Amino acid sequence: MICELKKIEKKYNKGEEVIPLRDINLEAQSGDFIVIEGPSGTGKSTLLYVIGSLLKSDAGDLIINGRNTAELSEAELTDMRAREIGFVFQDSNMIQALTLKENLEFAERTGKGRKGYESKAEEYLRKLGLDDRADYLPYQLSGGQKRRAMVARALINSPKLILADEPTNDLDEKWAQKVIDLLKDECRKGAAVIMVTHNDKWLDDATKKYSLSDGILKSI
Amino acid sequence: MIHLIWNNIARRKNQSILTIAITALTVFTFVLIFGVFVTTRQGLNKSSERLGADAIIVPTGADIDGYSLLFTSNPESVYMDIGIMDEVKKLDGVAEVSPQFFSQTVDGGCCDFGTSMRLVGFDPESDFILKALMNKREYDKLGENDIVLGGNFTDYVGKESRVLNKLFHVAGELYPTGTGMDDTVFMRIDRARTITEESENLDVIPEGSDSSRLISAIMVKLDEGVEPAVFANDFLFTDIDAECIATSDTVASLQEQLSNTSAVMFAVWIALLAVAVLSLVGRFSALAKDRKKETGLMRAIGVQKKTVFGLILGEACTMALIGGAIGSIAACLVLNPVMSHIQETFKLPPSVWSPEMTVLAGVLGVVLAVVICFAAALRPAAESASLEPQAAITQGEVN
Ligand SMILES: Nc1ncnc2c1ncn2[C@@H]1O[C@H](COP(=O)(O)OP(=O)(O)OP(=O)(O)O)[C@@H](O)[C@H]1O
Ligand SMILES: [Mg+2]
Repeated sequence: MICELKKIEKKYNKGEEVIPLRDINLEAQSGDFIVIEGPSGTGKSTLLYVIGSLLKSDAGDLIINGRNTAELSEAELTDMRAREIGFVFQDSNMIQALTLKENLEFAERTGKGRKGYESKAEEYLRKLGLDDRADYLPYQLSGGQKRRAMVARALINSPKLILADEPTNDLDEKWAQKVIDLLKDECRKGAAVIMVTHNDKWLDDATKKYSLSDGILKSI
Repeated sequence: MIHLIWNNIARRKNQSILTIAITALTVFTFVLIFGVFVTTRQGLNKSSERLGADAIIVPTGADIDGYSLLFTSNPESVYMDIGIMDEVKKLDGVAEVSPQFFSQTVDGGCCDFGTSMRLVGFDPESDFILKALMNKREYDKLGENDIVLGGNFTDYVGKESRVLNKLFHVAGELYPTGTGMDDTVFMRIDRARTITEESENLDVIPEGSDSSRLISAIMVKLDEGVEPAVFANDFLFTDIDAECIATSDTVASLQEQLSNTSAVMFAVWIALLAVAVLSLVGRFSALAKDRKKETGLMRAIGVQKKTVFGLILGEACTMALIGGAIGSIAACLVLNPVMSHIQETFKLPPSVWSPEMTVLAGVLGVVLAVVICFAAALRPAAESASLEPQAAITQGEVN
């Protein structure tokens, strides 16, 4: 089991209370390609933030690779994110002062440490059709290029758990399919992918399908 | 990490330049003010040191105040008997004494130096004042016809010169002291007496007195730990018929005037420093805020809190180093011309401002820059690092 959620609850208190996650139960095993769909504003991104330990839940247990995250220190959680989790954000997010390739290398170094590996940055740039943009700064990239760059960054350390928030946004059909194929490759190699989307087109590729509404995850 | 810090600075040029400029300007003013402050202060200390005498004994009613005695070279000619020196020598706290005989050169084309200047006879054997100030000398034992010139004369050594219509050989030159000594002509005390007496144009020696016993002042060096002011006060209660001037009092009052000026300068600089620190806090807060989303991203991909903290502080300190270095170097470049101007106006000894001082001021300036940038960046960096990654990412969208 790579990741397990038991009775997860998350509230936002911003004047009136918003409860995007009420009672979430989910299991992700090696090889799983989990697709969660749901209308805008239901809490899909919130769910991924919680699974990625970027946001603390208010109740319930989150177990990743056999360890209950509630029992891990801040530094251990950070370390876990570096080694075991790959995150594709919904909004493009890159280090502005680094070039595309440097951004990938930075993530790689964070995950693998300083030495003892051969950089895969060029390989992933090639896979995502970005090799001719390697030395561009983020502001010099198009929306779709940034999206692909974030996918490359999430995959570069071959993490056990990949959390993808609308990874096909801004992409044409060819590149959207390519991204899904890459994610499925990772599943085949033993990772678990949890992808959220409001595009039900990708449900067919999933090994497990869910819809999120009213804070509850329903298998479909 | 260093790579990222450097790129953050180099690839966000406009922001970095602003921060560096603020730092550079602050350091620039600091180094300048520091330089001026230290030089003038040290210069005065050195002046008093170079005077060599802790106290000067002059005849009763001589109407000489410390300032004119020390800092002007107006000729003074009043006399007392040399016997007083023996009495002074016996006083508690006196280490050394040396007599001087004041006279003057005379206006009117008789001598090479033009205007009427102080002519001082001194006793080379007991002297401890000129000895410490000797810049160039050509003699072992000062001869009858040798003279020594004050620090404002240059390149006379080895030449002949006329004083009170007599030909003398310039055998030595003193360092400038910023005092009346700089414009004084010195010779053996006995010789000074005779040429003053023989001079047709000078009529300063009292009728009927034995000129060979006359002196104008006794230079006194006190024992270690004896306060000149206390000595001068105690002197009032002795029955010696003379007056005592503590030279350090005179220098101290001048120092006070100067420190008032420097206090104002200092206050202005503190205000400036406060403005700089505030604007740097603003700069670094803005920097941390601009980077919130990026900070969240780094935390999300597994960069530790302390590393994020270090990145922001590192960036601040690197900019401080650059700004500090620029400010320091610029200040050191203008410091020398400014210093020589100040030395000229205050008549300070020229050797006070040294290259080592420039280096010291520069290094201090850079240290100061790093300290203020560090302080200014500490809070923004800590805040940024301690945000929950999701909060940083989503809040980062806002700006
Ligand atoms: N920091 C926050 N404070 C308060 N409410 C929040 C916060 N973040 C999100 N929400 C609310 O929580 C709900 C779920 O947000 P979330 O971003 O998870 O939705 P989503 O399903 O990802 O939507 P979309 O498909 O549009 O991306 C929304 O109604 C949103 O307004
Ligand atoms: Mg979302």
